[in-house]
Order: sequence, then C-alpha cells, then structure tokens
Amino acid sequence: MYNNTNTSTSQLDLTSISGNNVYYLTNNDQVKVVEHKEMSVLEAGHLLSIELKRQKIRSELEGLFLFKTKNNELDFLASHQDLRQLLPSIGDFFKKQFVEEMSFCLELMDEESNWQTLFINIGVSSSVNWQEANELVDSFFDNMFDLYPRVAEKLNIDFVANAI
Amino acid sequence: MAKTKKYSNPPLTEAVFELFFESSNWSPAIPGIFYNKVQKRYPIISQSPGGFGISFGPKGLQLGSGNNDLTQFKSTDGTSIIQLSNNLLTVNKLPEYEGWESYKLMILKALDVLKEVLDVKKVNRIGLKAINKIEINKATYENFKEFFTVYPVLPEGSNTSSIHLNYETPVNFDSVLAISLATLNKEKEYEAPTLFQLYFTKIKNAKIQEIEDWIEIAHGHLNKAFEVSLTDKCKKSFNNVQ
Repeated sequence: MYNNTNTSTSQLDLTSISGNNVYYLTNNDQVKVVEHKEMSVLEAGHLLSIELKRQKIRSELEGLFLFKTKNNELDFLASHQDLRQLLPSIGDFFKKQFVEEMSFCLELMDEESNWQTLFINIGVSSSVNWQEANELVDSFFDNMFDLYPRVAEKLNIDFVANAI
Repeated sequence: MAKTKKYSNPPLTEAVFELFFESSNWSPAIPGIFYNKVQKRYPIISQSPGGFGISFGPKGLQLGSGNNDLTQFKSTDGTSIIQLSNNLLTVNKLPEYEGWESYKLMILKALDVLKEVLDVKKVNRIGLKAINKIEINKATYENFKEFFTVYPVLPEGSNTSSIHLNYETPVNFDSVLAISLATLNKEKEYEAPTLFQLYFTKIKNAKIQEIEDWIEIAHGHLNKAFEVSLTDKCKKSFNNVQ
C-alpha cells in the first residue's frame, strides 16, 4: 500500500487515473514527476454513487440546514440541482431579515401522487412578528416565481413558533 | 470463489459497479428499449436533469457539460439502481445488501441487457466500489487509530479531529486499488462517522466477455483490503457471525 504522493509503479500509466496533484512515480531507481489535471477515480465516483451524492449535498448544506429524515430530502435535492444551488442563498436571505435566532429544517412532503414539495421549516421564537413574517414569505415567492419559477414550484416555507 | 467473512451489521452503505464503454449504435431511444427489458425489477425511471458529461478519454476521467444524460432505473424500494448513459453503465445497491452473490447476479443481468440493446465496441474501464460508513464514536485521532490500521502519522499531541486519506496502489500493471478514508461530521444515526471507500478498477485491456471473472477478482481484492484495513475492535462492532 502506498501513499498517493509516493505511488510506486513500473509500467502502469497512472497519468490516466490520478487526480489534481503532482505525483512522484518511483520505480526503484527511477523518479519522475507527473502532473495531473484530471479528476481522480475517487472524485469521479461522487457522480455515480447515490450515497456519495447524498454525502456531498449534506456537507454543502449542513451548516445552515437540518434534515427531517435521513435520506428523503437529500435524494430529492440530488435530482433538483437548481433548488439545491439556491438553498444556501434562500437560507441566508431569511436569516438576515430577522434579529431573532432561527433554525432551518428541510422536510420533503408528498403533496399528491407524483408531486413533491420541499418545505423549509423556519423555527423561530414566539416573539417574531407574524404579520411581517407572512408578508415576507409572500414577497419572497412573488420574486421567486418571477426569477426562478421552476424552483419556486418545488418549494414552500413555513414558520414554526416556539422552536427556539 | 474466495470465502469471505459475513457480518450481521455490516457498515456497507453502497456497492457500485461501473462500466465505461464505447458503442456504435447509441441513440436517444436506447434508454427506453433498456427500460422495457428491466422494468419488472426496476419500474421507476428518471433522468438526471441537465445531465453531465463524464467521459474517459486519453486524458483520463473528465467532466463536461456533454450530452450524456444519465437515465436511472430504480427498484420499487429504491435500493437497487441501474444508471445508463451513452458511455456508462452503473449498477448500484443500497442497504439492505443481500450479499455478494445476489449483487453479482444483479450486475450480470444488467450487463446481459446492455449487450442486448447496445453493440459495445470497446470497454474503457471497469470498476467495483464498496462504500462503508463506520462509527468511531468520537472524532479524534486516537479513536481513528483504534478503528483503522491505516492512519497518518502526526506529531505527538496533535489535536487532529478531521482526517482524509487516499491511497492508490497499482495491481498487475492494468488495475488500481484505491482506498479512501474520510472523517465526516455528526449526522442522523452516527455520532462520529468515517467514510471508508474501497475501489478496484481495471484501466487497460478490459473486455466485456471477461467481466464475470473480473468482478469476482475485484471482489476478492476489495474484501482483502477491507479486512486488513480495519482493527479487530472495529470489526467486532459489525458483529461477526461467521
């Protein structure tokens, strides 16, 4: 077993499989340096593995969002890349609108057969101004349907009182 | 077939078989024809929106926008999946994993259907991957060393809590065994998970007729690497029953 910065090889052409690193290929008395610009075999696996895709989405979003279930929300986001890309900005947007502490939990709901919606459940304290909160959500969706209608139709937002 | 240990609570979270190929008769109708042949076991069909181009050329694995939309065929419970594009077939199994023989059969059946619907001219690469998630109880360097026999050597007193290791070992001049260990943040059902990936891939001289033999060899390599990379304490947590 070799560390990837000291890979031992003789005739194997590792240039075709290694990652964005400089590799020192040693063959007893030979040392050569090979630069790699392509994706490594393990990095490429993220695109082909369900579990690694889940892991990647989880690590992108876990600083801001909690997930209601182990995999349902992650699998939904894996097949809705547009929504996944916008989620951090959406979370940041709502965070900046309130002085109060908030929590964000993603929950996938089956609205009817073949129609799923991702809810962002925003947990707030009871001191939040509900009228302001509802107006903010209405205005947010007005803008979303103008700018990103395909994302807006897959999304809903709910405020959960006394969650903080 | 090599005898392998069986665990009552194995850490495997996904097994993935990959076949990168070139064919002469791909057309947009192929996923539909493929679906007709597998829909009994894989009734849920979907296409990855936007798609991505993943190719295997002279410069190795590369990503691009491409036109290689990936079609997914899923079992009703979503745990058995085939993915197909114009140059790629994968067979994925999520838990419950029913053992190697059952998974091998899944792969071979998918390959049979591929050969029925496509004229595979060339195999560029084949790979078999096992993705495991292992609970190490606490994200510390000391705990990592208690669960894995491979670990980085760090200065005494290091307060390291996050580790990422990749190893790639050439095998028989045409294959590579790659191992990756990465600590993860706490998540549902795991206090301190570590992702342990084992990947065996043949990058030269692969032939579609030899895949059945090859996957058995690949499984042997992955199994051996699994057994030697984990400590007895780690393996005890999987409840060895055989």
